[in-house]
Amino acid sequence: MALLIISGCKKSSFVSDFDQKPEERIAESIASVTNTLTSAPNGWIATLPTNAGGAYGFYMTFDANQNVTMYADLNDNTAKTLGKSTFRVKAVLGTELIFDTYNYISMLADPNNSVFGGAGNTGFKSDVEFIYVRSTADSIFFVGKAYRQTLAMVKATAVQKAAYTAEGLKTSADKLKSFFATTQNPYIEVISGSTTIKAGLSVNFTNVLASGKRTTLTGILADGTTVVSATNKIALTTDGISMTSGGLVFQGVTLVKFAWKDATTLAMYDAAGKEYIIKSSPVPLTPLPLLFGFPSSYTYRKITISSAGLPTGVSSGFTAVYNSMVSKFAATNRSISSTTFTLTSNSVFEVAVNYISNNSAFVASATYGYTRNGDVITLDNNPVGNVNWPTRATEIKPLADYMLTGPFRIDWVTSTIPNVGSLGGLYRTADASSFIYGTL
Amino acid sequence: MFITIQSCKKEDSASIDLTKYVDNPVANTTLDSWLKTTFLDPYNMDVIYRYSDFYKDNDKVVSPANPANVQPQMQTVLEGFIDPYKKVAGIPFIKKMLPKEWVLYGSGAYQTDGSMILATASAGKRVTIYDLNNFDANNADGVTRKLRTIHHEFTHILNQLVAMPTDFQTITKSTYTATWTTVSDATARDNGYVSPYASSQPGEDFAETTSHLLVLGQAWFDARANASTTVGKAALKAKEASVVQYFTINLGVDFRALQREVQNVVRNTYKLPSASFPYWIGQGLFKNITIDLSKPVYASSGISTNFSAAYQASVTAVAAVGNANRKLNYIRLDFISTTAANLYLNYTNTAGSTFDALYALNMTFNSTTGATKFTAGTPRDTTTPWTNATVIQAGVQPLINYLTGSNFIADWMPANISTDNYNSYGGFYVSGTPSNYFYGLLGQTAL
Repeated sequence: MALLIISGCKKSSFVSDFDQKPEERIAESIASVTNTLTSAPNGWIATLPTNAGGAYGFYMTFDANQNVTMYADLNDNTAKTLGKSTFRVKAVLGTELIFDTYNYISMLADPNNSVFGGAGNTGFKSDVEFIYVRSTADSIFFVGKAYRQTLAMVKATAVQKAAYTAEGLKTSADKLKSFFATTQNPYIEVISGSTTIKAGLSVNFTNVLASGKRTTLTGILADGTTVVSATNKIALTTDGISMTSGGLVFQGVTLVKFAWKDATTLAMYDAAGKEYIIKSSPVPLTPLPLLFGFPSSYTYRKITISSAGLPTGVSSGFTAVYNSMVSKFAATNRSISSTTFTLTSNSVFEVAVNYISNNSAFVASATYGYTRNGDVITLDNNPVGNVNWPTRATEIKPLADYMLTGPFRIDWVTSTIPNVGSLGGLYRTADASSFIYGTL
Repeated sequence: MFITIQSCKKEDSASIDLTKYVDNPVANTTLDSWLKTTFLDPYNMDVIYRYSDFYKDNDKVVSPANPANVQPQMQTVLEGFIDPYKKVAGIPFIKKMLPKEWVLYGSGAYQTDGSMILATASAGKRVTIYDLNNFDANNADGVTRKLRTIHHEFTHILNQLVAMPTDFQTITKSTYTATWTTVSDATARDNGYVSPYASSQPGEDFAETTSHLLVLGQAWFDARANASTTVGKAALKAKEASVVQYFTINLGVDFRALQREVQNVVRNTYKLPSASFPYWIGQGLFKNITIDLSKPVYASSGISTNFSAAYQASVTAVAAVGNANRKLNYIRLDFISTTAANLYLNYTNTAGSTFDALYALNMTFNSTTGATKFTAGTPRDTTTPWTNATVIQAGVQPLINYLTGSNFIADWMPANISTDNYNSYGGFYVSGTPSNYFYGLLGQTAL
């Protein structure tokens, strides 16, 4: 039998692992953050991604009376009109910067969907309370309390401050939007291993929650078929565009910003400072056959000739065929509203002519079986028409005959008119100058 | 075999000064000064408009307030809520009962069903007002809706300090329901509730009934009761009585006086259309106005000399008809529609028999502005009151001349009437000459 009692009673005083009490350390942190924010002589350029939407860029100044002013790239008004409100730096979950009265940054978080287009009464899932993370000589970083997005702020120069104050953010945004509106199929060249990838570039300047304020690079690998893409949320500044969350990582390259090399040349830059000039391609970089197909993984499966008629600026042997059909319909007092060419399944191809007869809408359509080999579609030349296909046989004949002159190769169509949009075509393999064409 | 291992180790607690965590925002803007002198200094009320996470539910995304709307919003709290209570209940009551913290948020607080909270009250101490950024001082509906919510929330606070009357919850006990969002307004009314939300539970019912009586007014309440079922109307009137008793007896706050103060602000400052007298004439709530100048109300509240002269002239003229000394007792204006009215005379002959006489009047009436014009009409019938009218036509003529001789504006009046009579009297004044007016007891039942 063993009786073992070990007891001890030892009184000791509390020994902290820190050299200061918590309230002293917090007070120092608050003072330090406040001082950093308010002593930047030319204010701060800030970027903030949102959880549910894209990212946004700001120019902010903080004063010792807890006033904050800002410009923001939310819309034209916020870019050129100074927004004024208040801020606090206080101890909550650590040292926090709180934008405690309403300003542009609050619009991203506004639960009222009609204010800025948020959804589900949670806005863009953004914060007005930010927890201090760290600072460097010229930057300070916070993270949103609820949605954990990084509010990254860099000290502005006097030149940048002057630009923002003179509606520079709106000017910059306008110039960028104009560049992308007039540059067809922009791309950059990225070296990956031993190949140079031409990566197509898209920039969405809208505020649509799911797709806005984002940029995407899409390219094809050396094998010719693998499509790779990367997206980043972007903020606009007076100097160009800033990526967020570390940058846009594409094939091992981290792109961090867009900036103007000169008055008309826009380039992307990676973390090492290497420059990637944005070039223009007459046709989209990705071959259309990789994007055109029935399965849901394909972007397009239909070519449409709309009520506006054939797209302009295109020269094709099909044009006369189509116009002939239009005249024949017109001769019977009917008008064509649209014509579509659609892959309705992995083996069925449909041609549909929508027309108006006596103020009522009708459709004459026919389905063909098809097989696909790479970029070539071969129809079975055995159309099965709907009730109107034989009725309108005379009028449709030019088109119906043309459909029997396949096989057809899928490819892009270019127009001499810029901004016509993405045009797709079905080229007769026997005669590449003759092709069906319309919008995708 | 037993092993015991014990140890105790006493530690000094770290002495940490939590007061150093208190955060005091710099408060020296014009707005902050106004809040200090208007709310903090006189009533010890703190108005917190700078966003803090702590005053709201964790699961709700709420925006900070736009400072530009803080003063207008708090101005309505001052004039529509604090001042009436101050005037009727006194400053000690305010300091003891009124919420000490007013927290303001810019957006609404959205619930999972998409509905939006306008205000909440908690712990007898704090009222939180939401949706400040949509405040529009020119939108009477919006302003009074918010004011109604504030009164509703304060009623909860009062109930937390002085319990609700126990009999209240028995009045419509069987129809309280948790699924009140599915109850239509008409059903709620027919069951004896001021709103569907009131039918959720007795506590909400009490707060809703109180706030509707105060802010939407007695006419609104009576109209709702009249439109309800017999059971519903009885329930609504019983709830009204319970609320009046709670305030007047349990709290020592004269409810009718309070109602009057709030109504004065709602009518005259916010000009809520549905709080105006002409609105309710247009709705057919008030079927008639009885004017008997011998009643004490005219001695205490006065009557214009123009009208009393016309009235007296008719008294004299009625007596003079055929020298028969008939005595005019009182008159009544009956509203048949917004385009037709009858002038009714009640008179007694020397034998002691009482008779009715009816005179037809045509009306043009604007239920928004109250603009009214009477013109003489043709008899509507050949029954006795109409034939009597012909008999004493010369007697009624001074009154007919008075009524048809001017453009009138319909309004609540007189302004100086006693609190007991405040909801029951209304009348007309000559447009542009407010010193020329007449008024009487309002009736909701056609006679």
